[in-house]
Amino acid sequence: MTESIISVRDLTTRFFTDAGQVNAVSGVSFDLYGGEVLAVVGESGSGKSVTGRSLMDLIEPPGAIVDGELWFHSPELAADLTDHPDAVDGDFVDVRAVSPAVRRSLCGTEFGMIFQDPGAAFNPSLTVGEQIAEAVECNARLARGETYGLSNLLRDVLSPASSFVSPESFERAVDLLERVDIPDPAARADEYPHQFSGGMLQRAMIAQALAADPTVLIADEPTTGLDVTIQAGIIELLDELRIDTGASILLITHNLGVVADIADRTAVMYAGEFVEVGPTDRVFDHPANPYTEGLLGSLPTFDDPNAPITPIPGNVPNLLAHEMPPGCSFAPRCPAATDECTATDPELEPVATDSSHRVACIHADIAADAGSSSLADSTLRPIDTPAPERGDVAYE
Amino acid sequence: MISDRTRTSLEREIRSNTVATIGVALLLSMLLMAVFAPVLAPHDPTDQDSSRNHQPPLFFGGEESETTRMIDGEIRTVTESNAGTLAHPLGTDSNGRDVLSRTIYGARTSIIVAFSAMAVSLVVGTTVGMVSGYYAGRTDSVLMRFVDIVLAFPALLITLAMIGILGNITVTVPDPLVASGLVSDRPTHAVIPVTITLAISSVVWVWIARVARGEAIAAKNEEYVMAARTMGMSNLGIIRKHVLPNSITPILVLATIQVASIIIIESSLSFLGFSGTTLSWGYDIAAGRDYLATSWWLSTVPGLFIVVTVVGINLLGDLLRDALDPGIQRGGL
Amino acid sequence: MSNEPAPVPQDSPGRTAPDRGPSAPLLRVDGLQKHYVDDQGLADWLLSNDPGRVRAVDDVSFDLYRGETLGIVGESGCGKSTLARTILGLHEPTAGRVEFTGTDVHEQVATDRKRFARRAQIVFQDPSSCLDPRMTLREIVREPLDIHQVGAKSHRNETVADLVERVGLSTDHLERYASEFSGGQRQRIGIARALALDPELIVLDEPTSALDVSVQAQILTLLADLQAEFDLTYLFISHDLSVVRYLCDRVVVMYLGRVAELGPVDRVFEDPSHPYTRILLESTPGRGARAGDRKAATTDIPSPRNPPSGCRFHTRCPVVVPPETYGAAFERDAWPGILEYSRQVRAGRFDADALATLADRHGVDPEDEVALERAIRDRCSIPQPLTDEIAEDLLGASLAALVSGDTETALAMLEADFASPCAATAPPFVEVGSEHRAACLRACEQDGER
Repeated sequence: MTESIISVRDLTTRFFTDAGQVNAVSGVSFDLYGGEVLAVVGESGSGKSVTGRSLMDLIEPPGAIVDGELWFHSPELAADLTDHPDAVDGDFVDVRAVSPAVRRSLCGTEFGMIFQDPGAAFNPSLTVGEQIAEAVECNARLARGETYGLSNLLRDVLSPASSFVSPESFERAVDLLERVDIPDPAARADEYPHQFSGGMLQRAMIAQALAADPTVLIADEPTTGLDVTIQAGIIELLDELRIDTGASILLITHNLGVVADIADRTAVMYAGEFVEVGPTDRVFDHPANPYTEGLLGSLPTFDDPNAPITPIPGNVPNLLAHEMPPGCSFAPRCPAATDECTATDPELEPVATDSSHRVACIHADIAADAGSSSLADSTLRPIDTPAPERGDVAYE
Repeated sequence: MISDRTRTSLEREIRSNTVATIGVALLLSMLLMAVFAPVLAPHDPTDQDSSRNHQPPLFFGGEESETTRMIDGEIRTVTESNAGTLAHPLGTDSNGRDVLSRTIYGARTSIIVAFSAMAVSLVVGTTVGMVSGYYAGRTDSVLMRFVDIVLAFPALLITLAMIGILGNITVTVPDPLVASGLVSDRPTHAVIPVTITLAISSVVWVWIARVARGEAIAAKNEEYVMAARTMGMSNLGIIRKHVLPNSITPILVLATIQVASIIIIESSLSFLGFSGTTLSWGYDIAAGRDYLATSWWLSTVPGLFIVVTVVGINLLGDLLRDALDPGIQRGGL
Repeated sequence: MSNEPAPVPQDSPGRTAPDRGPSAPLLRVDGLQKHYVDDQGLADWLLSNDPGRVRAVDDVSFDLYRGETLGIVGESGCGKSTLARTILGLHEPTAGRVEFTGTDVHEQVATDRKRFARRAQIVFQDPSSCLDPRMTLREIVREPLDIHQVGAKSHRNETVADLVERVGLSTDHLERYASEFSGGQRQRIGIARALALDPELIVLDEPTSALDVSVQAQILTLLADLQAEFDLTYLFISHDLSVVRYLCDRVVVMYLGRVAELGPVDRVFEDPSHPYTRILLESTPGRGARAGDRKAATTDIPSPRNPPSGCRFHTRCPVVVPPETYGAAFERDAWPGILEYSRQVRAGRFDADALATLADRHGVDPEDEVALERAIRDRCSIPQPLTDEIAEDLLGASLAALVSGDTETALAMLEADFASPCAATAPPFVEVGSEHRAACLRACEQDGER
């Protein structure tokens, strides 16, 4: 379980808009380990969603991944790709270096994506069951190496009897709906998205993401817009799935409470960069970056109502390249900022007390030999170390 | 109503969108043609001369034919060429009137009818739509059922019925360019077909009302309208200050595009013979219909002008939509 | 129920407020109802179909005292926003009264909307919709002053500048359009606009729910400062319990249009009396509870269009009161299982397909009714057999009907024989502590025992 499933190195995603270049993600590096929940938290405009979508190759023009390596653990594919030495390193494959078809099949079979707005993620004119079955079917076909060509399209369009979805796939869709605790799944599978409540639709989307038996689930704000009781149910379900299937979860959210509840490790994002990564307990109890500290200080603490809240002054920068502050992006809002902060852009480095906890701040208490473990070398030796196992969770 | 921001976005749109600019140019030239018709038209559009009837446009024709004519009391067979001449670059009609001059004057009728009918429709339609959408409830039901009834009939049928009811009202106004003595030998008066204008308005206002109502409903549910109510602003004040300004863009875009439809309705009515004036594109198309086989230009020339105007208006409509829609944000993610 | 609960009269909520002395409440909401009736189409009218009705607010009463902050919490559909708008006279109530300093708000609004507007204002939730995009910052904040013709025209711009600075914006931006500001800045503009008329009451309708945490903190501290400075009374509507706890003195917990619990924030959140409040608290993320530790009511929130009978929460409640017929042992051993069983039957989890799957999973023959019954009891953790013989017979009959494929009869039997009082009677609002009230039959029982 301590093996890394995804190793991201120097991921840089930009959008080229009329208003200028937007540096949505600037040189982000991290590892996602087997069976863990890694939360990426940040405020709106911090680049957290773009990070998730970059992993799934879902960046559309005017945006593009301009730099970086996305190494996915896939021994089978690595063995197949012997003729692409650049794209293979041990059991890892750099998806940015392989052909789009290979990338698609890898993303389709190994990853499940859960979006924020389930209402928009389902086609209103097809039943929920059909849409989940479609995902199952696509996956089965990808696994069999089938392609869907023009002839298939013509056959499907011309013959009303032919259906893309096989009865087996539909049955599996019903099983998946049951798996995510939707009552009466057989009947609900024949209903349309508008007949589902928000929480139920979010569950249905999780079922769809599970269609591929993914090793990684990327959940982009999976509970935003849901009521707290429903949100609690979804978080519980994700936690259950992680334990049952052993899948890793990359949880993208702005809700620090949700993070504290479920994440093993937490990465804090600000202005397109990771400013702090570490075990959730460490990040919450001993934040090393002033931004993390400020974020936690802005949150009313439920169990200590008299604790004052201290807002971070100012606004999140808008990520336009020509408007970004020099040096550390947080410096203009940072209470501890010095002249040095605007001069150098800090890198993520392990804190002195705990090497699994890394921070990008020149004022933080950095481990003495930090230089040697910097990101410069892109070997696959993990740059983060996994969180120690939490006693209260039974990992498979 | 036009703020600095609107002006800048209009300017930017015109700079960046070539096709739209062509549309604006086409439409502007039509407008100029209508305004300065007496100066631009080479002949009096009503001047008849049967000796030069059915002359083709410049560069067309030219076949020689033998005709029998009585010249100086003798019957002779003469050889005539029907080649187009520079004097009548777009040819002449069956009465020998200059097609170019008639078409230039026809633009006047089309544009006057189109703009005045749209003005009437805008006022009536926007008022009904705003009231209906903002007050909702029974008011809305009654007004909208009436609108539905009007929409249920073909537009031409209603206009014809209105013409039947109103009779043929026209207003004759002196042509300022001729009256000022700038040009002579041109018709001294212009005829404004009031019946047609009102008849067309009676159909077009419902299109405006529908859109205005939808926009009013959307704007009324915005929280700033709720805020204005908690501030104690009166309903009419809210409609004037918040609902109307935030609804007007789509209404204006629709109105612009519908001007094209009005021009087509006006031409259709003139074609059917219900125009108050003979100086109209539709009238000329109808008149040329009998000679389509021999004198194609009689109907084709005014038809082309209708096409050009309608295309120009539609391009302008697209431009307005892109420039005025605050929803189309430039830049950013 | 032998112990007669002592309901607090609905017409005098919050009357016992000792520390507030004899002062009358600023706002009194009394039995307020707001139902939305669907638009009746022509066909419905001809067929005289009853139009649908959404019971957004259904019999809500509470008092709001000068200078305090009262929070209203609840999930979507609980009617909290409708309540806020009805209180401000933006909607006409279906029944009940809202009194502002002793006079009916709807009469005040009907006679002089403007006068009432100077006393009560609102800040909205959605920063993208609360400001007219075609107006500049100056125009927006000036608007209330213009409507009410406050002071000389030249003087108004000074007032605007003061307000804008007071809410933490720069006067350099007075000529900017609303759309050029960020979400947090727009919320500040909304607050400046609400303050312009110097009101006594400000209704805050989820003012921070669309904002990032760091910006939310800015707005919360601003609101707290303004309250002290201008002696404001807040009605703070939110779904975020942490924020309510931070900002509010007292809290009203609403569920499907009704008040579930009401009291001082500390008491309600530390010692909740209503199971719904308890579930809300358990569901609040980041309270140290790891996912899986808590028992959330994961079932959907019922629609306010067709609310459950009796206590509206009984369909999701983990502690529904058992029928009185059976003894105390029944409640402990059998009731949770039977409750689970009846909920699953109602949700259609035991239809023919589901039974086949169940049989398959338990490795029993789907035709073997006895084995199937056992499997169902197993799944719902119903003891085998029940200690109460009558209950066992009745349950057996329902199970038999179910496995023979007659779900409707099975459900009907359950509803007849194991009907909870919670489903039958709406619980009265009873005192559970000082100034602390809850509407739950369990709370009544405790009240009776005391």
